[in-house]
Amino acid sequence: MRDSNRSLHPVLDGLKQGVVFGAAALAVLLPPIGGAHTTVPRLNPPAAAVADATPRAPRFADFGAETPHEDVRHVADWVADSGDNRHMDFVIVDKRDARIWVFGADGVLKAQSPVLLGAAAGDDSVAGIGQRPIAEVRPEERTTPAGRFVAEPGRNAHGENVVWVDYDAAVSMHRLRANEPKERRHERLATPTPDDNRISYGCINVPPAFFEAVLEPVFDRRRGVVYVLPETKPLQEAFATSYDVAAKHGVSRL
Amino acid sequence: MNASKTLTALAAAAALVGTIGYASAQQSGNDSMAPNAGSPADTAQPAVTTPAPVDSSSSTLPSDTTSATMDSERAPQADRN
Repeated sequence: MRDSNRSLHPVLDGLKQGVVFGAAALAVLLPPIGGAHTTVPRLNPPAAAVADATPRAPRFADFGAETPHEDVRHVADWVADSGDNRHMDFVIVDKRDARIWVFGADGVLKAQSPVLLGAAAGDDSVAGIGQRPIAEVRPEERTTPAGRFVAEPGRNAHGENVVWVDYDAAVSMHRLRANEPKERRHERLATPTPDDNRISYGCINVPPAFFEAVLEPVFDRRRGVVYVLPETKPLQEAFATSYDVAAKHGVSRL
Repeated sequence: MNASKTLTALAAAAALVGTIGYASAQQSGNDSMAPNAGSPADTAQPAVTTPAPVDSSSSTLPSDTTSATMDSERAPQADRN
């Protein structure tokens, strides 16, 4: 028995030492491997996911010392706030007041003036009117169309420089012409009331000095946006996307 | 004595093989997991991305892309005076 016990001791001793060495090896190797997943840095959320929710300040048109009608102010403020003019100078034609308002791209008023407009009340042009001789335009068709137009400088059939508001409908802004003395265009423009300013075939007649001092520099090989306010349609129908800037931003207009 | 040394070497080798095998299995398990899928908090987060703020003014803009500067004028024509 003693011999057999003695012969087993070396086996048990060898197994014990092997387990000890193995445990030592585990103690050395496992920590760096097992802890590797804890050192993986968290991925930060994408920068795009962090939205800038800061509301921007409202932008109002600057009328200086002038006091426009409410519709003019509404459209001018909306254009200034929304950037609908796409960084171009813009013009508002108030048909009810027979007046033009010219703004810089930044919404600051440059100047305003009375104008002459189409003799007929209405906010649309008859189809094909731009291709018809002016003598064939009936009285009820002599409208100045309402809406948003990207206007550009050009020339009429007489070589005179004009600003095309609606080229296809042959509507332009040009210097007042007194071709027909009986129409008394200069006199109509000089009166303080807008009631007698409806005499043209649809074009917007501007005092010559105003055209050269204000409109020519604005439309000097550059386009601009012209907003012709309606007179028979609701304002919101002509400019469906317009909004009240003060109400949208929850502030009062100063 | 020789038998004891042999058994010690065999046991140590077996322990090393087992250690390496265990470590290898652990590593392959980590590689197959998503980087942020390790903690319950990570898996609980919904995959929501905040949409960019919509500027209502831009959505109202007309679709014209006309540039302000002109290259050429349109052909002259009669206007409606």
